[in-house]
Amino acid sequence: MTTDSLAANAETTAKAGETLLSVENMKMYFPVTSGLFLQRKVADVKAVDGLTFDVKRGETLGLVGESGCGKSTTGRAILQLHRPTEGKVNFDGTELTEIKGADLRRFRRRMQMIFQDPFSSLNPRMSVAQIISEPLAIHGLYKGAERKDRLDYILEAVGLNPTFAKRYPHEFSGGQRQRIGIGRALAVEPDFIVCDEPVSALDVSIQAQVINLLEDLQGEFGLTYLFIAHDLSVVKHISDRIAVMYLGHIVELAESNELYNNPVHAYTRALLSAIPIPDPRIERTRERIILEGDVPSPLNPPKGCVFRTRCTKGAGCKCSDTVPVLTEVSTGHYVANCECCMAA
Amino acid sequence: MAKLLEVNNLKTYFFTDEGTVRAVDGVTWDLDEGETLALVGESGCGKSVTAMSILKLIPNPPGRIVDGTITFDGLDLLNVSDAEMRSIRGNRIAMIFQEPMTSLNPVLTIGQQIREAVVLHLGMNDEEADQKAIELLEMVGIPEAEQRIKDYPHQFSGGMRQRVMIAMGLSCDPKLLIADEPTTALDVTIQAQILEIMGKLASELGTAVLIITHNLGVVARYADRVNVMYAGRIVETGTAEDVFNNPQHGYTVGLMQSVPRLDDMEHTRLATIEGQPPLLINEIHGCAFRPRCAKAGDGCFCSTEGTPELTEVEPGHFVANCPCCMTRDKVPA
Repeated sequence: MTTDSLAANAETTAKAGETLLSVENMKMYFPVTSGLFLQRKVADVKAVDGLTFDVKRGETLGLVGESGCGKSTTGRAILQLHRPTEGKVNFDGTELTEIKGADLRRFRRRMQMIFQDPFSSLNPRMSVAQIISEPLAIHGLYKGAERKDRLDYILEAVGLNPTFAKRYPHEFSGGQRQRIGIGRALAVEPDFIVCDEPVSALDVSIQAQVINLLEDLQGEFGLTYLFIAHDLSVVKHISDRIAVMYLGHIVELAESNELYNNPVHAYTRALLSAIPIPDPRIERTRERIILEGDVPSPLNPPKGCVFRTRCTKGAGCKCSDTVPVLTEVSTGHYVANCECCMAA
Repeated sequence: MAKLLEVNNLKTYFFTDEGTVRAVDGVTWDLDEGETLALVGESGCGKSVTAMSILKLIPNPPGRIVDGTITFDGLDLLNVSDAEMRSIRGNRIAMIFQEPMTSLNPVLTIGQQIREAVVLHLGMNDEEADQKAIELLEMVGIPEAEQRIKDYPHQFSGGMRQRVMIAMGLSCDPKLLIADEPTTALDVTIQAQILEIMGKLASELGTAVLIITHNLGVVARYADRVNVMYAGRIVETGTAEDVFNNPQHGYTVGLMQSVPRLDDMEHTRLATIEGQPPLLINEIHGCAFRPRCAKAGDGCFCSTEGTPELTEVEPGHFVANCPCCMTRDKVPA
């Protein structure tokens, strides 16, 4: 380990609790083009449409929502894997949307990603040693003999036997493969990791193992997570705060228990009630809000309040024509201020 | 009440080049009329193979039902002719599959696909069948059904396609509906819609439902009784309340504790079941859960011979009688 990164790590722990990542009015539109040669732009898929939130150092921010709501796009746009159409992404004092090339690459060491599918996110032709060493080679870390030590250390940290280093991905189970993916992200000593549905493809008993591993690693290395998932029970378990997304917007953002105990937005309440609790006694008396219809297409989202087409008030819906903005209803609890959706 | 379905010592094996896979290895259970029974377990535990065996849809070769009986409404299913089986499938026993995207034919309209079953089984003519298709779509809550029967599957969203599957499943008023992971591919709010419709219609029509799922929450919400499967066998069975509130087998306890719950206010570390489910290609002697037993380092005494039999611990609540797995106080909380 170089002295520079040691010093940086010491600094990291000292600054725990302050803002590491700040996203301001981030928009990510994907153009829809038409025509064989000219490729005229005919419309935009508004995958992410104006997000503003902070992530504090050492915390886990959960991002939850249904498919197509823009959670994964948000993660990728923060890492500049997609360049945001508009808005700011400030990572530890540096504006990521303004840097590129080698400068941006240097930041990639500090921001890593864990993917959903443990089968397609590992190159089948590379051994575990090659997979985990590749980011070290790219960033010029742990040269020479140190690299082997680092590899063994990482494998042990993620709960794999170092003797597995020469094996190939197909020789591992889904849970073990996910551990390799976590090891790859961890190898370059990142500050911030985007976990994009890291446990969705796993069976429940294996899922618990990986969740515990992520929590252990966070404690050990002082990591900051953006945890993206559609399963609110898992998100609530691992996150300090949760942002609920719907159709490219954040509709509610609060501390985890607060969100469960006092949900304000109609969508959050429907989402919570849709998730069954594994206890028949509780389920028998639990209130259920069944939402009508499907999520509208992000190609042509409703004007104003995006939830209006599924508003639980039906004909009495008074969702506004102006786009609701996040408003603080109690300390640290933000809700998109659509009057109709906020009325209990 | 009369038993609608009785599965007795069912064994379904797959004979592959690598060896014999004992996907379902001696399961015995029954289902009452109008009851909702859940089969729960992790991937590869034999849930789907059990369902496929009931419908005799096991691909042969390599699969074969090697032992056991399946009695449906007094009929010995394993000894009926292929023609008779065809008249039962989709008629008295219907099935809903996991993938609403792949289980509908993309080149036929929704109407044509619903009509197929009612023309075949109920002998309706085209006009009656069209009328029936519209009624069924309205029943599962698809608006403008008259127009929509002319649409193709790609014009429907995932949730709507699964509604179409339910409409098809219920078209001939089956006695038994088998739903294999019916909502796994769907979003949570759509999952709630689909399960609500399925539950409501099944109770209105008096249809018994066999629901296969790995989602314990879904079981708690919708099932009357539960069979917990592990490595091709049933390790625990009972009413949903008994199994959830008083789990006895080490695997059931582990499964319940490894799922994060929405109503947990204190952050506690999840209990895990170490290791992985066994490969069913190796014959399992004794308790299948032994390699993952929570007492592994602490004197596991799981049996290594025979198969633990299901024993009644309270009325209607049966547990595989491995004495080690049943003493749950030693499972770390």
